[in-house]
Amino acid sequence: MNFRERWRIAGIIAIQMRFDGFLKNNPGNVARIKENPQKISKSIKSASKVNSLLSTFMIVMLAVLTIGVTGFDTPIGELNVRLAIGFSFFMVLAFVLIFFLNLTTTTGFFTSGAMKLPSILPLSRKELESLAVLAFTRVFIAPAILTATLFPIA
Amino acid sequence: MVAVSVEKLVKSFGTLVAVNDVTFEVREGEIYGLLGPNGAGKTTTIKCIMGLLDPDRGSTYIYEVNSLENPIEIKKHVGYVPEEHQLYESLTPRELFEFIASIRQLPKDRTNKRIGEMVKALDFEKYYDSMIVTLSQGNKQKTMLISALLHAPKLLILDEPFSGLDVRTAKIIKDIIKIHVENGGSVLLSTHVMEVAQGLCDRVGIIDDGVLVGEGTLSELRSQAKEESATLEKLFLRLTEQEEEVQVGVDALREALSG
Repeated sequence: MNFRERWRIAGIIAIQMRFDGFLKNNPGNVARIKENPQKISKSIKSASKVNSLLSTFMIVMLAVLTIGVTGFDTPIGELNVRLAIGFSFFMVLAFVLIFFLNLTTTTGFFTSGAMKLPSILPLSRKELESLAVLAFTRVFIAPAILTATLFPIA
Repeated sequence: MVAVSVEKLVKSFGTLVAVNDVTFEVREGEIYGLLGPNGAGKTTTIKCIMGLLDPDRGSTYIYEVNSLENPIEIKKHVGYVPEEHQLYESLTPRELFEFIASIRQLPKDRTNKRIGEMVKALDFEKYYDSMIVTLSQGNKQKTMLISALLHAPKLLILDEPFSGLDVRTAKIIKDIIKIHVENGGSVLLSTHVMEVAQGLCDRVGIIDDGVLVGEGTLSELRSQAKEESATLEKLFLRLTEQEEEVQVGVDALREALSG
């Protein structure tokens, strides 16, 4: 199976993980989903959008603050030291932010049984592991890219 | 030719021996029922056959392919319906079938034709584009069954396929099993519904506490238990040595309810 195909399959698995995570964290919706499944699907999509916007906003704020401190808080030391400390703080705080802002999805990733279906299909262990990693990547790729690029750009 | 061969299978989880020295065969063109109470080791045996669990000792083969050595080949040849629904509830049945067909690398035209025929035969058209999460238990089971039949497997392995189903859906699934065998396929199913096993299976294996306590046709089991006209339920209780235990329970309950 080529990478493009694995990436597509991982996308479907990631959607299922988000879906499972949302329902597990909002048990009231489990009973209601039969009434209007489209509404719940929309809620999941909008929750995902709100999370992305909030993550972006917080990471930008964090980057601005860290760069501000790095640039002007001279008592910490030389510029190189300040940059290293600032970048480390930024990465740690960004990771914590991403983790908690995407908590629903993160929980879904670990508790969802989304990998059970591929495991009964003719896929090798290696392919299954690769699908799990790619699904994880698809969930966190946007905030990860944002985190990794924003600080150096700024 | 033998469809499934299980030889001296042993599987433990810590100190619990879930399957203990189990040996049986499913012949080509037959429906074989694996019977046993909850926790007897039926699902563990099936998972070992499917290559989803590695046995501690012994071996399992499907059409002479070793499950441990070649689990991918096993999954290619078998239509498997597990006990728990393994469906993507955010998808519609149509999307799920396309997803499975793409992983199995099935030709699109032939698969679509096959899906169309099955959907029509199972009266499933109106649910075809609804999200799976909105489907009833019976329709989810139909979805699982169609998924398992997509690649036209010779062997069907069904783990408790009738649990939680209404009479109509259970009848449809029984008919699918019979048609599959009429077309030259073989079926291994696990159940604890004795009536189903008695009416559907050519041979049964009775498993209790991980041990195969009896095997054969209904008449073979009757002679094994020395009960000429016993039902499968009675034979099951006799062979699993639960007859007295059940009677004591029933007597106690009768006394409690009459007071």
